[in-house]
Amino acid sequence: MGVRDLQRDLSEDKWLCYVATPNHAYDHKTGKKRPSWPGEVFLVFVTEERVVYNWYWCESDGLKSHLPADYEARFLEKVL
Amino acid sequence: MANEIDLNDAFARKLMARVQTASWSEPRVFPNADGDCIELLLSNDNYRAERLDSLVTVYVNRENGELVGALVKGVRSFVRKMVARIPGFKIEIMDGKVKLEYLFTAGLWSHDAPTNQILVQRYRKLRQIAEAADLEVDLELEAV
Repeated sequence: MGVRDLQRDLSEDKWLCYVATPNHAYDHKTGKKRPSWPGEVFLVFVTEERVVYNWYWCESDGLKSHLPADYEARFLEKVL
Repeated sequence: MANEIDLNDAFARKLMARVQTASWSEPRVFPNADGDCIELLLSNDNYRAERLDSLVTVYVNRENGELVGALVKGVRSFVRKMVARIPGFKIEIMDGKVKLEYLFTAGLWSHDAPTNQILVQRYRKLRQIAEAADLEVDLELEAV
């Protein structure tokens, strides 16, 4: 919880980011199912009004591979 | 245990039917007013996201490192900050619209003496693309 910016807005403190490593990914060009991307996690961002505003794969943390790289700077707290 | 998506579900089939497999030739902008963000996509290449700074996350082709797109987040709040910091920026907002190249320029200039060359290169590339395609953003900026 708390999608952070260097000069963050207070309203973003209640924004959420779900992180997971799904079993599959989908190829953007073909739409076909494929194995998940190695070394990456899938993020889904949700605003305070519970609007899903973006989702994407990004590099995972070197030590905690179930979390995104730089997670400590990017988010306020872990709630789940 | 993770839930599997049933791809034969009516909603899933409708969604998958909208997948565009043809290559793109021009940048596309997808505004999201509810999320106060815009997404710029240059192609449908597979990408992973890399956070550039608090404003921009770039999408990078996994295979060749080329730029595939970008997410510009917190657009309205960023423009408000820019107007407060540099009142003349308001001149660039016409009919609630602002050129995307100006947003990228402002994003780059908001860094004090940027020393991160990757950041500078990415911003310059985004600005170049936005300028060449004359891309605009309309996210109800009248209230700025």
